[in-house]
Amino acid sequence: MSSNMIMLKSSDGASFEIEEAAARKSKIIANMIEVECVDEDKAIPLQNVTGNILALVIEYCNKHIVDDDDDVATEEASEEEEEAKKKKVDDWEAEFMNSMSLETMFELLLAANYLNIKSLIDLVCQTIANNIKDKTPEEVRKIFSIENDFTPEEEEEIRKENAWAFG
Amino acid sequence: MTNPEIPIDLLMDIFSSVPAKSIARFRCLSKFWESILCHPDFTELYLTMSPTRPPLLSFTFENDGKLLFFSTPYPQNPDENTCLVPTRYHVHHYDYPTYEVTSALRGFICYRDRTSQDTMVICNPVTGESVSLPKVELKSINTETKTYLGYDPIDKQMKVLCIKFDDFPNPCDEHQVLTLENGKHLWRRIQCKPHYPKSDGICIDGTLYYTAGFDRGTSVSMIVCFDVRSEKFSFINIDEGMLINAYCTLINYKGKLGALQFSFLSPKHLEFWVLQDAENFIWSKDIYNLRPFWNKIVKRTELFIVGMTAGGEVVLTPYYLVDTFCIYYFNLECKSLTRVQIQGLEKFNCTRVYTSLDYAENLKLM
Repeated sequence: MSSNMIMLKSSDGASFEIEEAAARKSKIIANMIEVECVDEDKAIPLQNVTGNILALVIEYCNKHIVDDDDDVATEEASEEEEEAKKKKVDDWEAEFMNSMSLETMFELLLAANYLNIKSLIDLVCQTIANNIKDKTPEEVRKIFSIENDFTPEEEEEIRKENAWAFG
Repeated sequence: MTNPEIPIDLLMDIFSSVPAKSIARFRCLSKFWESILCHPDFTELYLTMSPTRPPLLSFTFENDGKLLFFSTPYPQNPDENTCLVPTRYHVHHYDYPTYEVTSALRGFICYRDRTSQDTMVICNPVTGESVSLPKVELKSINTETKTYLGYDPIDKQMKVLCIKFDDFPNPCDEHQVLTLENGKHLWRRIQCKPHYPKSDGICIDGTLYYTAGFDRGTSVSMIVCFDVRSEKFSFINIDEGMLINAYCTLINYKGKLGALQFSFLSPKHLEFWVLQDAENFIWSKDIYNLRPFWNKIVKRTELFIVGMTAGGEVVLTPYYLVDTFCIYYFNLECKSLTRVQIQGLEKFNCTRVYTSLDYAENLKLM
């Protein structure tokens, strides 16, 4: 495969070079390439994504484009090989998300949403979900900046209705 | 910490990935979130997303005239140090002396008092709701019933099938079916030749399967296939060579019908059948010897085959909870048996336990 390179430019002015095949993981960039509004000499400006987040997105895309290539090359791969490969990707993704703060996860989620990278959206949503699932309502309100507009009586009533979940 | 504002559709994606217990807790976040997390669009999304959440084992206990429900995520490839602590759902207060409970389908369970054949209750352990169905008509005082849940993925309808069976001179060729999600529950009559259901049901792509025989004995002569949408019956005859017995567990094996049972001929041997060619009724058969592990790992407990995980492990549980509650994973590939301890249920010692694999938590109200 020819490795056409594309330039991406973050909102804070950082430039990144990325293989076209990796950039196509983003449906938005893939569309831009289709309609030929990508000038080879000019970087694509991404106004909603900062450099540090874009670096993470590119790391993710680079990793997954290699995997997709493998899939094509070894279509006849046995079930065990498929499983081993899936495990490798899962391990990489776990490692990738592992040390990330919730704040970074939210920014990465917004970037993945803006660039329309479905698999990254799913990965980040799942990780945030694992992170919040055992938290109290107070903690979750803080994380999502949710204002509690129940009166104490109303909240008490809902807590009573869902008492089994507070055990 | 101030986090950026997340669009509502992404928040719905995040919330549809947490367990139902967290959802119940998050309903008191704010008025807006209460309305979102109770909204039918969200409960539909939550059910659709259930295969992406960690798979769940569910346990139903009869205790002191009550039914109690628990679930726990279960690991793939567990080891002997794995220990599971189930979450408890709502308690159902019904003073039946003993229960008969179906396996769960899309989060719903159907049960009835074992001594009254005509009154079934549908319940959803997650919401705590339960609905008594209208009584079915029995042909004689000796008529017995067996209830199955089926799901039609095309019209997205859940149905309850009630099979009736009775001895001469009252063989039952009329049974009853009811659609669950249309508000009013009315039994309709359907015809099928008399048969005696033996196993629990498994629903694969809109067809409900269960084993049945021609009499009350333990031999199985056919697998009944009920097309949930058209409400038509068909049959897979079991030829004599197959020797499927009444304790056989039907499973969904990668979209094909499979059957797991302990062999008649050699004890502690696990037989694994797969219907490879449904048109020509061609089955494959594998046998696994569990004897080497039995004395060392299982000891004296009598085990029931629950089913198979997505990773190809057969899950076995005791019928009754005695002392420590353990479930067993038999890995077909490595031919290894692993015991996994379930903690926190010690007070249900000596009670009957019904175990289901791949329980789908359902937040929908009936």
